[in-house]
Amino acid sequence: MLGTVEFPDIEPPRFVTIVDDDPEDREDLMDQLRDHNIEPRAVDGRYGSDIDRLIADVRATGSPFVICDHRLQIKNLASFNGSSVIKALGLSKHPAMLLTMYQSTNRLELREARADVPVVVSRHDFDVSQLGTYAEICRREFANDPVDARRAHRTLIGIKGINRTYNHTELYVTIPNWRPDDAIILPVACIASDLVPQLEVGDYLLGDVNVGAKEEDDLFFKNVNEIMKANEVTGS
Amino acid sequence: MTDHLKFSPDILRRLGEELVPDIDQGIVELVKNGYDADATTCKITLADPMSGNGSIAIIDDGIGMTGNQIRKGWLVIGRSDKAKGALTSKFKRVPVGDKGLGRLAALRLGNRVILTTRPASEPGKQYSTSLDWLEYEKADVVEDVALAIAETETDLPHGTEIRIEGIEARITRTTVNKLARSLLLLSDPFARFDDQLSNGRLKSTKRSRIIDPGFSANLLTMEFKDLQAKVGKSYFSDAEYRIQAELHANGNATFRIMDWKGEIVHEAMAGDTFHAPPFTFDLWVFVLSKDSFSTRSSTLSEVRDWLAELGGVHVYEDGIRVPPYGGEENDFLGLNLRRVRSPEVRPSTNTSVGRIKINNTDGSLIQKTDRIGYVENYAFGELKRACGEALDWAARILLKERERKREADKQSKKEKAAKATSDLERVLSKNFKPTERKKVDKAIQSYVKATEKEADSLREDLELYRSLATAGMISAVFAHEIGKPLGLIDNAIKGLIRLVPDEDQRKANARVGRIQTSRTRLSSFVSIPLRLLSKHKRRTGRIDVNRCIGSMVEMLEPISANYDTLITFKPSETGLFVNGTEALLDGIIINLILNSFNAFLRDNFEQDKRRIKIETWSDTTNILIRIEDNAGGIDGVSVEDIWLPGVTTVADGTGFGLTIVRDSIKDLNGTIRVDPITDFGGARFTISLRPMRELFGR
Repeated sequence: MLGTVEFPDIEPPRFVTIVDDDPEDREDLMDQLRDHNIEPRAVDGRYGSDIDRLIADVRATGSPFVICDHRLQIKNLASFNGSSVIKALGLSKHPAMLLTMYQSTNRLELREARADVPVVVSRHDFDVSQLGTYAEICRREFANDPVDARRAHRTLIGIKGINRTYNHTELYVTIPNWRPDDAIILPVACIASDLVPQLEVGDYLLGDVNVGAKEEDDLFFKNVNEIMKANEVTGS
Repeated sequence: MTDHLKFSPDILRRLGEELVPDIDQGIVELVKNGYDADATTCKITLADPMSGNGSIAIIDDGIGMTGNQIRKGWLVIGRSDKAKGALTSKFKRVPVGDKGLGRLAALRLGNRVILTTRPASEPGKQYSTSLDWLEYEKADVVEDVALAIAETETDLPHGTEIRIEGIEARITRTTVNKLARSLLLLSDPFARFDDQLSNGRLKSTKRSRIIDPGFSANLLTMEFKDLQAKVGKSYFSDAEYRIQAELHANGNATFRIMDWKGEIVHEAMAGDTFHAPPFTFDLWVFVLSKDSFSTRSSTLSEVRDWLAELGGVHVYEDGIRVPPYGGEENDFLGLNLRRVRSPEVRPSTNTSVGRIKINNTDGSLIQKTDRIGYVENYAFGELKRACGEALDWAARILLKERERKREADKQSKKEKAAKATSDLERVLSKNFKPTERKKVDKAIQSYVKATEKEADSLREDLELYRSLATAGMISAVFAHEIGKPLGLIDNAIKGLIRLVPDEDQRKANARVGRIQTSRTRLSSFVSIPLRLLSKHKRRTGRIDVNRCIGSMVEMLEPISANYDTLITFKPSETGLFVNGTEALLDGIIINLILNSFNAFLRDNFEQDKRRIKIETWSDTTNILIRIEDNAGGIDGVSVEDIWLPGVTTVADGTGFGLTIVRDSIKDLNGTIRVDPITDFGGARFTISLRPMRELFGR
């Protein structure tokens, strides 16, 4: 998660609210927080598609920081996922982090949402003693002074392959300013919709990417709205 | 005064019918006595066998018995004249009868036995005696019943006749069938084909046959004739290959694979020696598929019928069969088990017929007292080990052969494609002017491009299937291995709890409870791939639809609880059976259920009470299975396209679930209908399968 970003001097929040559909996981997190003298507060129930009600309930707990599980649908807590909750909280600059299992099914979903989710941590790597750091990353982002790993730079994105399945298109791209030899999947949802029909292998896109990210899963793509056709790049 | 040990008549029952309970086995023992008397034929007649007062006659043309031989041998229960190692006087056969207990059982089938015998050593003389079992019932001890041996003159040739009268027990058709089979297989029916089967190494057997004209037992009934007609045919040349193991007197063994003509294609010495009497094991293996019989004169069903009667590995000790080897459901070499462990290129008892010819003159193989098989001693264990090694050796060779053939096929296809291209090029150059040729080339190029695209897509499907197979295998291995760490967790929890001070026990218990719940969930999740990959599930046969679905629903219970979904199963009131494999039905049900789970998890779909309903019933023609959910129905994909491989609405989904469902149903000769949305609130799949009785006409 965000490489080696650490703010060891920042105190962790004293109250933390947990949103998790699985009662066992929720209780486990709460115990971990209690062990570090942090008071956990939980939000549970059935919210269906009513994200506003969930956000209102989260706010009502009065905690300065929120830990939200990504898959809220499995045990039917909500019909939306945790990244939508973080995004909604972010609109009012409410610090929150996302916990995920980082299974392959989540990875591309998360990449689409990653620009609006400052902190994503795998359940396996979650460390309560880092809560201060997690909260500081959020605060810096809301203050328009993101940590290096979250700072976006206008950069070229090379299209190396296009996989058009039945109702879905994925691009295999390289980011020369990040790791020129690593091809990653870029969901078309991250690209301005008017560009999608023109895309061909060899083209380059221009977009805002946090090229300081250490891991592929921490990359985000914003404003991918310019295209350089292959023939323009080679000058032929 | 001198006293003697005496026997109550009850002992006759103990030693007879209780020791050898099968009627057919008792009669076979009497027939074996004929073989030991150097007979060439033995006829068995049944008169009114089902009346409750029938009789059986066993008539052979052997050397018969003198009055003294009757007195000293035949009438002495438990003693055999046949000293081990001594051969019969005329044909030098190794005696196969023993102890006389099986004979006693047969003799006691009726109320009375009449023995008539004409010894070859005393031409013109006939001896006869009778045993009246009712007299024995009245007597205090066996010795109280006096027996007389009458001597008369006769013109008839030598031989023996035993007539058992007053048979009260009804001899059913099943017993007659069993008897017919036992008699037919008694003297090696394969032997008559030895000439055509022999490839030079079995010549010694052939030479000994010139002296001994052989022995045949004939049951004079219709059942026997039918069976004889079936068994009498030879389909050995329809075998795909033949595996042979020859154990020599020095303990070395030679393994061979031969083609249908009996020509050796592979031969090797075994790496080990075996401490068993010399024997030759032959196994003819058949590929029972329509394709392999399309160019042959015999039909698949003929061979199937023949194998059903003869199938299995029969054991012949010095020319006479040792039951129960090769009998119904007898698989003493574990052919079926070996096939299950490694299904490719392995024969089963249904697809092969075999024979082990043993030369047991050293007596290291000992037949059990009830004459059903050998005592499981070291020599018999070694015999089985040698046969098993031969089968394993052959499987390894055949597997390599198959791989080589696959590679050769690939290469030959490439060469054919290159030749076709050059032929096309030649024809085009010859028949088209350069201006027209451009158009033709363009058309061909676009055709080739389209074909390559199709091939690419198939390759991709294949890759995915391979990945899925690998994932399946890995998860099975993982599931096996996870037992240990799970056990470790249990022990660690117990240890930790002991370390927790009393005042913190309550808090600790809450956390331990969570670990235990997670451990149980984990354990039940990992057991699922193991259960699905269980080998018995891939065996074709009669599938109990309700039991299969019921156990699948039960197995998925931890997963459905995890997805907050209630699965209900309403089975039909009567049993429903199809022919196929459980794996196919499992695959259909589990993929449809997983499909529902995924539908519930779609973004922005709300369903407070998630439900999946499964129901089975029969509409007299077909078996119907309905699976429906309340997950909002099929959305984001057209109904016609849901079966296509790769079509999925789930991020990173394989899109293979419903393709597998469609293909599996096709394999079960069924159909599937889909209603994209129903009143219940979701999609409904209705599967129609043909019941087993229709497939097999019963």
